[in-house]
Amino acid sequence: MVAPAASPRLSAGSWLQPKVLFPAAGMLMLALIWGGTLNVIVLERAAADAAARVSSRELVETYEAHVLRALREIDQTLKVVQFAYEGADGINALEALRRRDLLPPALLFEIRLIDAAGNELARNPPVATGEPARNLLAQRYFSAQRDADHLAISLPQRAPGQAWKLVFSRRLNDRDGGFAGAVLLTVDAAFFVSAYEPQKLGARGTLALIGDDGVFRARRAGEVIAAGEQTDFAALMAPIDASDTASSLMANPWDGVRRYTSVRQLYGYPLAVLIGLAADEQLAASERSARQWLAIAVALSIGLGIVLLVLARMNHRLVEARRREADAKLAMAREAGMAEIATHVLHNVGNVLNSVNVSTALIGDRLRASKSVGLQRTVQLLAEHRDDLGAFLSRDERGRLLPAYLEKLAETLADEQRELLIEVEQLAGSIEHLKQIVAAQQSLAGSAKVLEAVAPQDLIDEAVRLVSADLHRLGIRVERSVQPAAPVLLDRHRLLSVLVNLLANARDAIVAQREHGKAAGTIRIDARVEGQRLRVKIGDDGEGIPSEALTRIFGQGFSTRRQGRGFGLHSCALTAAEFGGTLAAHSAGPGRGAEFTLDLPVGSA
Amino acid sequence: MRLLPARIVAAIALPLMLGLFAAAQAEVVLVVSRDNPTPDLSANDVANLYLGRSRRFPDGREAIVLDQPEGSAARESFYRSFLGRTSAQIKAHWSRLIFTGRGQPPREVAGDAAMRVQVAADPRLIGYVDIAAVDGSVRVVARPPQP
Repeated sequence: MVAPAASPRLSAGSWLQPKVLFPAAGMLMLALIWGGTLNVIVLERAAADAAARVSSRELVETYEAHVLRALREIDQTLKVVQFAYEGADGINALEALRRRDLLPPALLFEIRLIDAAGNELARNPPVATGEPARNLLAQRYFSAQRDADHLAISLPQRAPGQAWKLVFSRRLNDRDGGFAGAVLLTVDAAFFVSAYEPQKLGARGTLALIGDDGVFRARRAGEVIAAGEQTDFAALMAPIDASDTASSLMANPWDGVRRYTSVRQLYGYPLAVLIGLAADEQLAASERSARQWLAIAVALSIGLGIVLLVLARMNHRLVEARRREADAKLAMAREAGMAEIATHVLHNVGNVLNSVNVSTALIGDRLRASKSVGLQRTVQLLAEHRDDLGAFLSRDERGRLLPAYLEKLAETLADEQRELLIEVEQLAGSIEHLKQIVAAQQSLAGSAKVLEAVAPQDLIDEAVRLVSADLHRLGIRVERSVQPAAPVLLDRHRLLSVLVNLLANARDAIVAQREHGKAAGTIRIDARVEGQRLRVKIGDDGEGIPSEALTRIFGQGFSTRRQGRGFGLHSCALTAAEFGGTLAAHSAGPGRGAEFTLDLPVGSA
Repeated sequence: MRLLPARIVAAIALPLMLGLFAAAQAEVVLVVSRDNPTPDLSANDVANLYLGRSRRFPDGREAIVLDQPEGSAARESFYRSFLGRTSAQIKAHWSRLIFTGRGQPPREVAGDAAMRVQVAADPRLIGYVDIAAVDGSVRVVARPPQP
């Protein structure tokens, strides 16, 4: 029994095997989950990055507008004081302007008039809450006004324990246009960064006013206000673009925080404004979201893994159960196959043994009826007349007949010997056939084909001879119509078994017909080779086959006879099929005989 | 020997007593002109007026807010007791409003007496003075909320 081997190669159908399908589906779903998650994270990060850049630019533009307006108001104030001083009011300019409400809020802005020697002439507010009066001759924002009138902006100044301040100045002229001193406006550096809004800029954002000398005039991060540090102005302005804004994500050199930094140079002033949005604060929401997505992806992956494990385990159990079932079926089939082979062999052996039995019985009968007894009596008679053998042979009546009798006896014994030889030869033939049947089974589990060149008429003769003793005993005639043909290639012994089977079947049908009290006794054999096919018909006038049984007679275990084993025709049909041929049955009905047709492809010898 | 301890006592006790006196008595109140019919102001109304959020009395009439100069005791007391903020916080607040162009701080009037005189003369004005400086020319519209 050869089981179909499980093929290890991958075909289209093998994708549907759970062993492949589950991991493949799992990998696909994992790829989808992680691909989607990472994609969403990347997109969200990109969106947060873009939003932070846009926000940084928008904020710097708003900030620029505020700073420009504040600077213009400061300059305007200085010019108004200039005008009042150089006009009618002179040293009383501040008082006059305050009365007309033309000075900026004293809460934030301190204004001083300084004479040409650097000494204070007047101030507003009048109470010295700001800097104490001192000589300012050495101060650059004062001395610079000697050469020409311009808006001078000081470096950040800080008295001990006080806040950073910025001083703005313009020149005061005397009536001849000579240098008369300067008007100074002092304001907290914090004023320029008071627009810091924590909800937009966060706790580590930056708002700064920076001179083109690279010195911070004011810088605020959260609540911390600083001023005076030097930074590389050119490097800050390097990424400047078409909108006159330098914008980039960079680690700010003054505190090391990475910020979306935008810088704009102020039109008409040696200053620039700077906005920085701390990258970690701006991207915090998207990072939180990314962590959530990752957590979801991990949870989904774990869930998927669990589901797949459960499915794989269930599938494994199912496959195991199926395999055990298949193994059990295979074992049963193997046992059944072995039983079938055994039955097949025994059946064929039985058929031949039948013939052996008949031959043996015949030889026994012949030997029992042998005329050799007459020879013994003759020898005894001759021994009695040993002394007068001549007289006995010439005178005695029995003695005179003896030579003729011996002559006859010799002839009879010769005939007897010839007949016995023939029977012994048949017996030897049957035994040889038995040997072949057993050898065939032993060689290849009953499925080996041993082809040899045989003439069809010889095959038929041999089959008939194997059963002839039996048929002769039963008085059954065999009518042979065998078309002479050249030898063809076939498995002689297995075909012989089939033919013997069919002949035994016909014999049994005839016997059965006789038991029904009807005359029967002829088997017709018709054999011919047509092209590459051998067709043998074996007909009988036996009991026939009911039409409802015609389709079932080739099945295993079917028999219409009481002693029948229901195996012969099944075995014959299997053999015919094995050789690529067919075995068909035909019967006109019960009591009307039957005909079997064996049709086999044969090779020419 | 008698003078020295007396001087020491005076040097220590006088500012202390004055300080205690000031702490006990320096209650600052909001006043308007006697001719101003506005009802008393809530703490919220006061905050709106003095932080520049509103330029009107609750009844809808125009209000001009007056402040005392930075560094004055009345100013410190007023913002601490009415708004719970320091003078520096108020300065930062106005700094932001001025910088962003959204407001101007109240005009400053130095001293309780000057304040009372100005407020009494114009029903649009509102200012704060020590309660001791209040007379019939002005009307108290708000006292510090009791903590």
